[in-house]
Amino acid sequence: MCGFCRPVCPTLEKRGWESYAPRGLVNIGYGLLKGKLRPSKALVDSAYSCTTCGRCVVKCPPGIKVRDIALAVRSTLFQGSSTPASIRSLLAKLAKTGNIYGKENKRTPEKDSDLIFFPGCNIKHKHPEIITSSLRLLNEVGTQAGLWNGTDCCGAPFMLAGALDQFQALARENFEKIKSSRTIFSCPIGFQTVKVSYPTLLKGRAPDTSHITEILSSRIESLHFEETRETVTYHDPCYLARLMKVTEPPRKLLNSIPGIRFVEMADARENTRCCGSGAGITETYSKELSREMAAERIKQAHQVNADRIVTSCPYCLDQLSAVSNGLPVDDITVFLASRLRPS
Amino acid sequence: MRGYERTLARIVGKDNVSTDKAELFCYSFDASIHTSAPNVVVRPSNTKEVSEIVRYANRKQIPIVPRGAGTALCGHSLAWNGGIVLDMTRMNHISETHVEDLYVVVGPGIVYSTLNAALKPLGFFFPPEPGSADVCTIGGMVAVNASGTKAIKYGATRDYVLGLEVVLSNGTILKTGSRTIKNSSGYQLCRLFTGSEGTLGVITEVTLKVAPLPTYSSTAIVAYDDLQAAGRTVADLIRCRLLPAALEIMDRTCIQAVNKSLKLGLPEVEGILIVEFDGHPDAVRDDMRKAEGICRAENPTLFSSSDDPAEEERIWAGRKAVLPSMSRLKDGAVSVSVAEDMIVPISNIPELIGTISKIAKKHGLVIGTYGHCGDGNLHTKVLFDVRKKDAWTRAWKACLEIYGKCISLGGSLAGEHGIGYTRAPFMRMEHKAELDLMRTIKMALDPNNIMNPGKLSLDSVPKTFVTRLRYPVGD
Repeated sequence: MCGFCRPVCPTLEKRGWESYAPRGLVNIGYGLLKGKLRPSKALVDSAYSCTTCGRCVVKCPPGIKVRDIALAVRSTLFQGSSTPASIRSLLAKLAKTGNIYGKENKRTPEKDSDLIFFPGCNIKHKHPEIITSSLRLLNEVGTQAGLWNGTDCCGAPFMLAGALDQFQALARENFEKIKSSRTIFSCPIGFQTVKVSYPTLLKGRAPDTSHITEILSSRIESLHFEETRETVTYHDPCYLARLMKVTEPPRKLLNSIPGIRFVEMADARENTRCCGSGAGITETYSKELSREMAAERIKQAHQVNADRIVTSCPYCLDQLSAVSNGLPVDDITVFLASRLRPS
Repeated sequence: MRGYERTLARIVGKDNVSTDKAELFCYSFDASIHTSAPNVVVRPSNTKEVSEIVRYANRKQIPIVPRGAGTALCGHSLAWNGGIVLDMTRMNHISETHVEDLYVVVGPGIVYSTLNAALKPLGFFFPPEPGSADVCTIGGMVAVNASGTKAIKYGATRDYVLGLEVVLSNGTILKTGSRTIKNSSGYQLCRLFTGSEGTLGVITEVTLKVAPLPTYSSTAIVAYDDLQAAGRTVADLIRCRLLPAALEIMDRTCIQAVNKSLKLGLPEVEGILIVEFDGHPDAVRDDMRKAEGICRAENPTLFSSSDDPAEEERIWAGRKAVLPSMSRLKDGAVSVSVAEDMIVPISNIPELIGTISKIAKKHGLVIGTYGHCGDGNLHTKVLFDVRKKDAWTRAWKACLEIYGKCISLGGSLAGEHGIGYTRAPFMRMEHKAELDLMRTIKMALDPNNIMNPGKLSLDSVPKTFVTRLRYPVGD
């Protein structure tokens, strides 16, 4: 294989060994499938150090679906009980409580609305301010949304860790509720999982789903912001920009703030550089590795002299904030809501 | 931990040694058709470590195979006889930059485009841009004397290697060449090591000449319904004393592959030429005007030139994607590198293209032809079902005929990709007494044959390349 994937892989950049290269992971997948390899330290490390960011897939001219191969390897490892302990622990919490943090799955009261905001584990339990900001912004553009009152998790961690039966069960449960309403996401992992993975897995029609930046940008004339003099850059989450192709709505929203100086980092839009989280999986497997990757993104923000990084994924938010060393990092809904002109 | 692992770990640290089966499996592949696994992979960080590793390997007679990014197309970086793979990518430093003296000093593991990104703000570059520019390492480029689209004007890697640091098979650290843009002080040993494919020593540092970066360029895409007309145009451009920075060709098969892969909408004609001039804007415009006249004499269906960098990049995107896009062209067929780097005197390009087309038809193969026709270097990709033994037999026969024709035209087996293992079976066709002399040199520098054994036909001439294939071949 040509190896054209090598220069874009954030994991290889940090680890160097061929097994961390997308090409290496493809070969490992082949070796495992053909019985030439058995789980080993390097094999497990390769599978879980991949953030599934998909940048290699875009770069690969023959179009090898490296991301799918990474997930297939993880699934094989799961079936053979070779999933790393840290990931098993995360899955156990998810199975028990319905969220990856093992927190109580408090259901919100049913609200009579055909429009639902689905926060997901991370936003609900770590960043409730995103819920508040999202609902406020939706209200500002004349949309009343109710809160999701099902299981906290969209099931992505099950899928990404190869626990496919559990993913299927949760997906089926959620899908039944979601397909009868329009659902809005701020978390791109949930957005991608529900919009793409659910219908693929359950062979159903794609539910009516949107990312919140799509809704807000389509009604941008209803949003009125205070003037700011900040230099702001935007970090495209892999799941939103690369997998779901949503790149312009966040930019349109940020550029609508009067006085803002929007600067673009290197590696923007579909070519975005991964924050290292891997939708929480790589971060759980190796915090050290994932933080090293995040630090590279922070360097890029400094290169364009940004005063602030804005993103639209709670996992990216956690990663970048952890290593930003004082450079403010905000979720886009929180940033936009804080800049709304008082009515 | 085994004895040799302990010794190697003592030299480079245990985190830089691996015998994990999955890791060895990954290093058993490069961009070639072959597979062969090492016993251990080591990632040294400096010349002293390399020297200690090589000294140890020589004492124990363990094969040593240097490896950069693993983009070699003929199995150069595979451990054919097992042993130690030296992954050189940690040695990726730029240790000195002296553009006023026209040179830089770099580690072998630095990636080509990373070096040029560092040189760009200074207004200089290392020109021999290979197709794998974003991936391949300078050490690998020196090892195979790589080049690419710019060779017609700027030459190949060998023309830029001013000095080398090489660890010889007994562990001696040799400094050869100089920091001057020329010297006539004895044997030109840099030229001996350049293209030696790791069979004479391990390159640990490279002093490279750099060139001023042109500030202006213009690129044309020219489409022909007749591939021979495209070939004749190439010779006419050279005959008329034009010196393009690049002069490339793609045949219909390649155009279709790129269109399918990148959806570029290139005209699906028999042949496309890409012509680039660079330099002073007035000179470039003048050259492009002359080139347009010459190209139009062969009645192209399209001639379109642009000096807009974005448009130039779009034109080049198609050409650069040929190699990896070929596998998308036909379901069930894989694009393999078997006879992919022939070079002939420039005016023989039309004849070679015609012959390749006939050979493909004769053996029932799909062969895409493209390459640097401006310097006589043609690449082909052969598409077939790699699971079928019969298809490999036909590919082998086709290669014998292609190489035979190429050599009869005064050409060579390889213009820029080297020999490795895949082309080793054909070495005697091109080199007679010369191969014996190469073997004598090899024996003198590496008497225990530990340096990348099995390559370049230095041990013995393999009967076929259809061996140790990475593909599962049935009947």
